[in-house]
Amino acid sequence: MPPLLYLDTARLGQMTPAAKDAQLDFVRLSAEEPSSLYFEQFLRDGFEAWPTFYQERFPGLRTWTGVSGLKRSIRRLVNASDDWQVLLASRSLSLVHLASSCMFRVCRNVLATDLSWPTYERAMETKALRTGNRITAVPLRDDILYRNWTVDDVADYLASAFTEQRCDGLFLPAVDHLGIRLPVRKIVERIRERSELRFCFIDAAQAFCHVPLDDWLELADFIVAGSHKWMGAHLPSGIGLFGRPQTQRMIERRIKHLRLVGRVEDPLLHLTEQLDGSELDGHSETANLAPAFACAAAASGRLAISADESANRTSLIDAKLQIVPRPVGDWQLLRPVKEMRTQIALLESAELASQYTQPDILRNLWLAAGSVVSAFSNGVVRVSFAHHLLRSELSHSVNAATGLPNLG
Amino acid sequence: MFFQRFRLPFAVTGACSCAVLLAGAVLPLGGLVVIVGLLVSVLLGLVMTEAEAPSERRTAFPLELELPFLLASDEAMFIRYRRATEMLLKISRREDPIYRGIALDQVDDLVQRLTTIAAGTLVFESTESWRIVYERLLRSTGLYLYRSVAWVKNAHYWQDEPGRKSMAVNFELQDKELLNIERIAIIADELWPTSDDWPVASIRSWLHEQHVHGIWIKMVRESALRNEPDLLADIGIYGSRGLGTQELDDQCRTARFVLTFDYAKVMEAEDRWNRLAIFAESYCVHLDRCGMPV
Repeated sequence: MPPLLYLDTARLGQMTPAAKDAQLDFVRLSAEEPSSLYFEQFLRDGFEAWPTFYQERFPGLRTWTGVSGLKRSIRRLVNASDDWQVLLASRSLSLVHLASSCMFRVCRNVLATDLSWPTYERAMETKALRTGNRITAVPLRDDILYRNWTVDDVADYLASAFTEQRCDGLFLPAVDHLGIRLPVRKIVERIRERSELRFCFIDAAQAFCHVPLDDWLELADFIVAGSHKWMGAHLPSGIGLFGRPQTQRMIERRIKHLRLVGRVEDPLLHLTEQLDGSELDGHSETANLAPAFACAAAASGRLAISADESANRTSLIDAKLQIVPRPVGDWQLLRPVKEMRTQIALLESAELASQYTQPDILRNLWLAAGSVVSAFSNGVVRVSFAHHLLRSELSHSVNAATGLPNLG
Repeated sequence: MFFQRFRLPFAVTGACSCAVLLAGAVLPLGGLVVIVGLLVSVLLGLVMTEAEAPSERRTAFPLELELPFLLASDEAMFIRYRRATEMLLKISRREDPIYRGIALDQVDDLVQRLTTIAAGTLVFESTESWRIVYERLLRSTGLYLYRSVAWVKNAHYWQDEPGRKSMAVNFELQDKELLNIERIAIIADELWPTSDDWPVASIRSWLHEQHVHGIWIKMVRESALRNEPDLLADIGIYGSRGLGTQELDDQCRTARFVLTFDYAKVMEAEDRWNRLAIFAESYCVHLDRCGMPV
């Protein structure tokens, strides 16, 4: 059986070789030298702070540059300036809670869309309810996927909705889980032309290390991302970014206050903030550090890729989509206009949709054909091409054998 | 007087009674039953008519004798009613005419104050004790939004000891996510000259501290409102429940604080807030435009 083609980076990215090496050596370190005298120094200051004999024993951890070093790498990955703050957490949901806590201090009515990741949406709704505020969610997906809405259509629609619904906050995914890349800059600018935007919270979980963020970065008050998809760390951890002068102090103060009253429940966030501030209290819950090492290793790998290579390669996907191994059937591409495309694409089978085929059956059909994808109801599957797949040749032999027609 | 007031019901009762007695004397048993039944039906109809009587009749002030019965269900109020009426009785028993004259004037003042309170308005004169009520209001269950207009005429506005304590309550409730607070600062021109990007340092740091605590702050120079005199006021809108208006002296001490729970007044204040917001610029945007001062 030929090896499976992994096309599910949007759900969980494959671990990069550097991250794998870091994990293997971390496991060895845990077994051979757990919490040695040198460990805290290593945690804080990185691999270079270790004595030579440690470095020789655990070379896979050479990508660990300390908490500050990791944060610096993440800033570089998104082209953020040095005064931007980076938060590391065990889960991105912890950072969503933090961001919504900041958001609903100044916002009474936040505009969201049906592109929001459901878990985040629920967390935001709970926070809104608890603080006596609200969220106004507007439909957008069908217009983008089925009615060919342009970037201007989307920006105008959201700006109008923002004004009509008297919103004062905005929560958007930069790229949603179905591969739609929203024109964040245009939307925010259009809104600011007509209304007062008090807080802009962007979910970059699908965008981080996938598409450039720097064209709208300075417009966002808080950005949440993760390490387990496009970054290539595989192990989940949450990444938060903020640095807009208008709200930076407020968010910093909020974090400080939560730490002071013991309400930072995420152990990795708690630990990394303490390490960064050189103020370990020794009382915190033990944190799982494995994701942090994987994150650092993946970040170093991403930074090593040249700027040309890391640019958006959505134009390469069209060719790749034609030769993706897939089950027999009439699979139609379901995509937004070119400006909103990413390395994620949707394929739809009208026949399977009419049969109400369950997502897990769909997924298994694709597995049998040789591709690992995510499947949804209505006969829709999602393929997401990792960066290395766009650089390499997919196998032609599979498709040649099946004689599959080109995708529509 | 009692019979005069209820002459119609007495007359109807009398007439019905006579009709039943006459029917009893003249008609057989079956006929008597029909007459009684007809009278009961008419009576029920009249009762239903009374039940649907216009609201003016029902809300007309109760009779004097009904008052204690109506108040009895409100124990706290009834205690005070009884005490007050006992004192009025004591006053009325003193015969000295000079005493009576002054006492009646003072009782009139009390009645005037009660009238104001009954209209949903509480007045605090020349005292900072209103802050206790203010704090109670901010901490009250069901209050999620507090909008405040601060008319800053003095560089130490709300930065004296009572002011700092009230700000601490603001910060505490904001930090605990129990209350959403928004404030528009109307700043006197001498405290924020047009040549300066920022107000004087004491006011700027007062605003900045609130901004960092997550209070949504907007600012406007007083001169920008010269054509909108009704917007120049020191007010607090507590949800849609209450409105507080503060009058300060030159030393920023409270001369008078009026708290009203009149819904119409709260709505008017909300309209003024929305109008004022158009003139004011948010602290965030100002920070973006002008940067933090050195």
